[in-house]
Amino acid sequence: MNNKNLVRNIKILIIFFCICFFGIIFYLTYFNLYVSQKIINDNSNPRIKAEENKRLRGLILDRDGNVLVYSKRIQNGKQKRYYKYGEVYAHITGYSSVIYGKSGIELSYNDVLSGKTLIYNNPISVFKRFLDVVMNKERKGNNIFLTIDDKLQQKTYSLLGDNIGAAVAINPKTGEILSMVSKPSFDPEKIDDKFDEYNSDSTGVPFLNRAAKGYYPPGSTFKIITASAALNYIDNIENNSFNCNGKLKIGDYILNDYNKESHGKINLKNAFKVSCNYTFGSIGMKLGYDKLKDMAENFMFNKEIPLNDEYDSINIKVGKIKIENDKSLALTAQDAIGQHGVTSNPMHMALIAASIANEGTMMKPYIVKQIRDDYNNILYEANPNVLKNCIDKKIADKVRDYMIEVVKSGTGKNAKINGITVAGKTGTAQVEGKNETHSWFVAFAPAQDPKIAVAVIVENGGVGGGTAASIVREMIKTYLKK
Amino acid sequence: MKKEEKSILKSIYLVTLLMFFQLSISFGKFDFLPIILGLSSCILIAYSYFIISRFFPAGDKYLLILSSFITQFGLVMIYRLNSQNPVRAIKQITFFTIGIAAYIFLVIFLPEIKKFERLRYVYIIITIVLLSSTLFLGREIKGSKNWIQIGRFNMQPSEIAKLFLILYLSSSIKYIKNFYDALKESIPVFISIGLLVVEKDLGAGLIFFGIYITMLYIGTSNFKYILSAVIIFLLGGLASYFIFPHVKVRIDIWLNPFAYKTGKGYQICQSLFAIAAGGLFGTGLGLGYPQFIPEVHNDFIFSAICEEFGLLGASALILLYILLVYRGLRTAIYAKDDYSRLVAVGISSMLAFQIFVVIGGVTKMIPMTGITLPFVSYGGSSMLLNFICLGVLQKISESGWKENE
Repeated sequence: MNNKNLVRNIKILIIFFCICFFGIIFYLTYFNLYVSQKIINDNSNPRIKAEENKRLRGLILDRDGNVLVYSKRIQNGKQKRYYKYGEVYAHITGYSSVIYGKSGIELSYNDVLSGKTLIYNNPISVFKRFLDVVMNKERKGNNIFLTIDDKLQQKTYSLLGDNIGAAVAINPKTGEILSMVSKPSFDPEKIDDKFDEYNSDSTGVPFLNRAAKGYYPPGSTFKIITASAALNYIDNIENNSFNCNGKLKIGDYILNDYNKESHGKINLKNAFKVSCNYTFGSIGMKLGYDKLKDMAENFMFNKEIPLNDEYDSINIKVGKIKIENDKSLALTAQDAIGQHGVTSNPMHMALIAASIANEGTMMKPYIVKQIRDDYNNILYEANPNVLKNCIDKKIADKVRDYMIEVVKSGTGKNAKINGITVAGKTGTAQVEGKNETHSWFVAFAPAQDPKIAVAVIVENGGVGGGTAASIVREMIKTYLKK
Repeated sequence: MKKEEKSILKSIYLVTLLMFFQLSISFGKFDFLPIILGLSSCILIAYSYFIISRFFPAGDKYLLILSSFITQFGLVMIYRLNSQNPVRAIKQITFFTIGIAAYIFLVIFLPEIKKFERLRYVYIIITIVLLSSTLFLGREIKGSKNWIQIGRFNMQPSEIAKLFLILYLSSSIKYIKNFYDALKESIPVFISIGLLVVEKDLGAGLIFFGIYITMLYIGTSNFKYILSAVIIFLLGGLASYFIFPHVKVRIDIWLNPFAYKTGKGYQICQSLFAIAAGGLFGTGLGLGYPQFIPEVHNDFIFSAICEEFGLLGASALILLYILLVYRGLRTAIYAKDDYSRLVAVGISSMLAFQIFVVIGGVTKMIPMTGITLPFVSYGGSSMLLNFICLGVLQKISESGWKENE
């Protein structure tokens, strides 16, 4: 055996082990950079729940600071979530279940509520936190203040009663969502027992948020858009008059007015007031599908409506306008009165009413007003933002005047309130293959200085001037006369 | 030289005391026990360093300094994992004390290593007897039948067998002149590895093979032997993949642990979560959740260190291990004779392989095999054996330095 060889081999061995060990460090670095992010949120990682449980989950409050959702420690350090008004806020707050996960605000603001993302940005909070650590006090998550008005939300919920339907109220000048109710609703505290029931067709799928994810033909409420298009594209339309005989014949197709009623000689303003299908069908044909679609897209049809919030907790369904054959006059006329290829949801329709109220400008809707840390320091404050300039102020003002007439002396008389000028539009949406009609009403008030814009749909609620209009009336009353 | 050692020792005392101080305040109330543990550790280190540098100044003091510092990491982590019921931490510091005592005892009383060279058949017989003893007397713990019980103590014979294997290989390698010799001297080694596979102690099998192949290469410088050994090993590995279900399971879990995340892959998945939770800087001592990993105080203590000390802390520990292995191999280079040299190489590479296999295993770099992390994992027999090995290394370095001077 050669001594020199032996020493040389040992030196090689030192290098070999160094390579092995540095290989581990290299691998660990790689793991931290590329693998760890992929696996860390795996549902079998107990750290997620443990980390969440360490801090008491934050509150959800309404705009005035009324507590809606809170957490409390129960036995052996676990915490339970309490929903004070259960079904009333279910589609806004969502649920937080150990078994079925989370939804709504609970899901999209999870990191905020559990205190993970937003840290203390204020020296006073940092100092208070330090004191609490010394005193061994419990750490809490951040609190979320919604834009919802508790009184209006409660009222809206009770107004809808046992109907299937939805209602949305928005502040037209800011885009704040003042109330959002969908019926039937579910109780977030009872998710673990009733999950399947809440998801089933026989109970009307309570999990479905009809206010934002419904899929309804807007019916005559869509005439707001057709009227805007007419005022925008057709010269001198206000002085034109139409000769309504109750039945608009387009080739083989006949577009009927409600109850085949004939309105006689009628101009645009009056046609809007009585919701004349003959006139609006004719206007639709005159405009052509492309112009109608352009105006609808100005009002965010066929487009995603993003929330102004940091995290989207609602996911508004895209309102659609489409047609199988854009040369077909019959189909264009149907689209122009909000049937056939047009679908929307109350949130979208409320935004359309709000943009008329706000001089033709649509604000980005939002539902989170403020986020505060557990020492009440503001971490986030919402700023209203413009979503889109839909139409000129001039046209918006004209449409607003038409809408005032609707409530004053037209189909929407039911929504009249003493002392408050309400502007509105009814809608009676026919569902293909069914006799029942959905009752729509969109409105805003006070007409001269709008503070609230509302859209309500009641499934199978008859005509729009009936159920839906009275619900809207009570909502506006509640909000303005508080 | 001595000045440097002292300044390093001072830093070690500081880090140790800081870690234990952090532990004493991190669980909501002030606790005196960690401070006592830290102080006794420091006193123990200072005392053993004093003995070694005063009476055996020729030897390599860094072996002791590095290994006792590494032990502190383990001690801190073991206390942290069971802060409510610190029995394990107290036991571990007892094992540390016993280990240091054994180490000093060996340095004082061990005769020249050269004298052990003649007994090579005795070593291999002891190795095989130890390994096969578990087949008859063994108890199955954690899926491996590699423990035997003596009185109240459980021990792993394969830990001790490793040392005897090193002694055997060191003396027999010089007889290897040709391929036939190599095969003849290797047969007992292959028998040992086979026994380990049957006992489901795959980690020890891997380490046996590592030691064997390293020493074969160091002693003969002949790549042909290495190549044939690797081929035989691969064939054997492939065969055992198909013959033994437990080998197959280990490989499958390694390839896709998340497919078994609630079953047999639970432990490795939890270990990966812990490492991922740590990130670069770690969650901080006492702030992570390493207790979610089953058996974390044994094989998976490295993952706990990754979680709370982060990538930086884990890399620091690995660097300490590199230094320790380097000092061990350096001892081999300066050793007096070839036999001591081979024993030192064997012991150092045993430590190196063990570290590599366990760290690689818990990080899913290589398939998981249940073995303990030297000086850090909880356990008496492995702590004692590691310090015995260290004592032998110390002895070799001491006589080597004397020779050189």
